[in-house]
Amino acid sequence: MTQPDSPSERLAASLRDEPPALDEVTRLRMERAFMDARQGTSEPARRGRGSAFVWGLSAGLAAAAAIFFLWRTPSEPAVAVVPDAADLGARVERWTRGERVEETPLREGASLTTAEGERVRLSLGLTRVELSPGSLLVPERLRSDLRMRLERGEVSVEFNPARPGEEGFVLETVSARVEVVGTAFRVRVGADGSTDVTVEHGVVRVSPLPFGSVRRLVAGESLHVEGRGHVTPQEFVAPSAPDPRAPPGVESPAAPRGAPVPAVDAAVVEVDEPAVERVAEGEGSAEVPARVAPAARPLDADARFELARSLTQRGEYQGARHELYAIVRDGSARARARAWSLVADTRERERDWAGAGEAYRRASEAQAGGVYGRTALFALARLREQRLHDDAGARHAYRAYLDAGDTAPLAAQARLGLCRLGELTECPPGQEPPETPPR
Amino acid sequence: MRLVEETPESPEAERELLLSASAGDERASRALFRAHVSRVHRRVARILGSHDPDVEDVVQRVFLAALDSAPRFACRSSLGTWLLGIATRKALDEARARKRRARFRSLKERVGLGRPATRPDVRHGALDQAERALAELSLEQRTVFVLHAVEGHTFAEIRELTGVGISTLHARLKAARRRLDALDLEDLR
Repeated sequence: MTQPDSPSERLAASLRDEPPALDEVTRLRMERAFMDARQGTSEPARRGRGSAFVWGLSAGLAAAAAIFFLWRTPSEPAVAVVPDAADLGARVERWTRGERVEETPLREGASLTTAEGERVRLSLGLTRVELSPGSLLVPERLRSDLRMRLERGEVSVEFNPARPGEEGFVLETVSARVEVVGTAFRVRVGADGSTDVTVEHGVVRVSPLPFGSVRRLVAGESLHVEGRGHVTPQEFVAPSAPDPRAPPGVESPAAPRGAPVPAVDAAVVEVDEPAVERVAEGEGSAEVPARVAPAARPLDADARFELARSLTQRGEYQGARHELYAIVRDGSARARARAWSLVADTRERERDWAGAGEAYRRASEAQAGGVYGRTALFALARLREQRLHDDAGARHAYRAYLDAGDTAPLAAQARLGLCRLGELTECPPGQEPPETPPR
Repeated sequence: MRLVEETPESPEAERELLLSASAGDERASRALFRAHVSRVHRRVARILGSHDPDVEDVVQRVFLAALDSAPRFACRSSLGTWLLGIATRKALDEARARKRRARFRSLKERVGLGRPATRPDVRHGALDQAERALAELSLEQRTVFVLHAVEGHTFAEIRELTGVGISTLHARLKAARRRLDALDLEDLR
C-alpha cells in the first residue's frame, strides 16, 4: 500500500498539480506547423513510422514540399487562411479621443488604419508598435521575423525580441527599408513619399529604396530619405544622449536642424562609434551585434538604473526599458532581477498586465531565492490574483514565495492571499474566501 | 480517479469532426487540433519530459497519425481518449528510438530521457525537480508511473495502450516507487 506522504506520492501530486505548461506561443507554433504539414504532403500515409518530421525527408517528399512552398508563397500579402490576433498571441488596442475601445482583430496582410484622434497599439510579446493618428500600417508577417509596411503616417516601434540577434524586424515604406535587431525608433512617411527615421535607442539600418547604400543609425540619430530615395545631408542630425541629471520635462540638447553639418557620408564617418560588444560566435548577428551600447559614454549598471528611474518618472517608459534591458543582458543575477522588476513596473504603469507578469516572472527566475527574485515572486502572485485573474497561477506563486520561509518580509501578505484564494483552511476573520470569487 | 478530460461532444459529432479533418476540411482540422492539443501535449511532455525539444514534433505526429487513422476510429472510446492512446504510443516510440541512438554516443547530461533541452524554460523549482526525478526512472517505469499514479489510468487501460501485461505493469510501478522513494525530493516537501 502506498503511503500518502511518501516521496513518490508527493511527486505524483506535484505533477498532477503542475501539468506541463503549453503557452500560447507554443500552441500557435504547433498549430501552424500541423496545418502546413497537413497540406504539404501528397501521400495518404503522411509520415512513416518512427521517421523524424524535420529531418530526413525523402527526395519525393522534398519535391512535394518545395512545390507546396512555392504555391504557398504569396506575391501579395496573404489575406486568406490567416489566424486572428488572439491566435497569434498579438493584441491590438485602439484609442479614440483618448478612450480605450475594445481590441480589434488583426490579420496578416490586412491594413491597420487610424483616423484623426485615433491611436492603435499592437503588442507582440514584448514588442510594441504604436500608430499615430492618420496612419496606415500593413502587418505582412507577424511570426518570428516581423515585417510591416507603413503606407502613410507615423509609427513608434519598441522592438524587444525574445531572442536578440536571431529575430528581426523590417519596416518598409515607399522609399526606405528599416531593419532592426532590438531597439526603439520612429518612422514617418511624408505625403511626398519621403521617409524620416529617428532612432531613440539601439541601432537600425536604413536602406533608401529602390537602390541606396545602407545607413547605420544609432540612438539619437535621424535620417531623412526623399521621396525618390535619395538621402539629403542637410537633414542629418548629430547624435545626442539624454542627460540623466536634467530635471523632468527638459529635453536633452540636440544639434538644431539646418545647422551647418557635413555631407551624410562624412557625418557618418565622424559619428562616434558606439561601444560595440563583439558577440561570441553563433550568438546574434555578425553584422548587427546583439548587444550594442548607446552612442553616449558607456554606462555601468548603477548609472543605467538611475537613468531608468529618471526616465520612468518622466513617463518615458520605452527609454527606461531600453536601459533596463541592457542590464538584463549583461548584469549580475541580482541586477537582472532588479532590472526585470523595474521593467514590470513600467508595464504596470502602462496597464500592460500581461507584460508586467512576464517581466516579474523573469525577475523571479533571474535571482531565484534572492531578495529581488522573491519580491518579484510576490508581485507576480499579487498581479495574477488581482489583474490577470489567474487564481491557479497566483496560488502557485504565493506558495513558492512562502517556500522561502515564514520570515520572508511579505509572508503574512502571501498567506492572506492564499486565504482569499481558498488555499488555506485557517484564515484570519474576514479573510476567508468569498462564496463567489470576485471578478 | 480519472483525470482525463472529456469534451462535451457526442460520439457521432466527434467522429464527424475527425473524418472531416481527415478529408481535408481545414476548419475541422483546426477545431480538432485546438480541442485536443493541450491534453496531447501534456501526455507527450509527461513521457518525454517538459523540456524535451522533440515534444512539439511528436505532438504534430500524433495529429497527423490521427488523420491517417480516422477511418479506424470506431467510437469505442471518446475521441480524446483515442488521441491520448496515439500520443502515448508515439511518445514511447520516440523515447525508444532515442535510446537506440543514445547507445552510440556518450551522454553528458540527462534531462527528460537523455536529450539536453535547447531552450530550457524553468518556471517552477518543484516541477523541475519532479522532472529530474522522473528522469531517474527507466522508460518503462516512467511510463507506468505517469499513466497510473499521475494521470489515473487503470492497469487495464495501460495494458491497452502499451501492450504490456498487468502483472508486469504492477512490477514496474513498484520498482518506480521504490526508486523515487529513495530519492531526496527536498522541494516536494
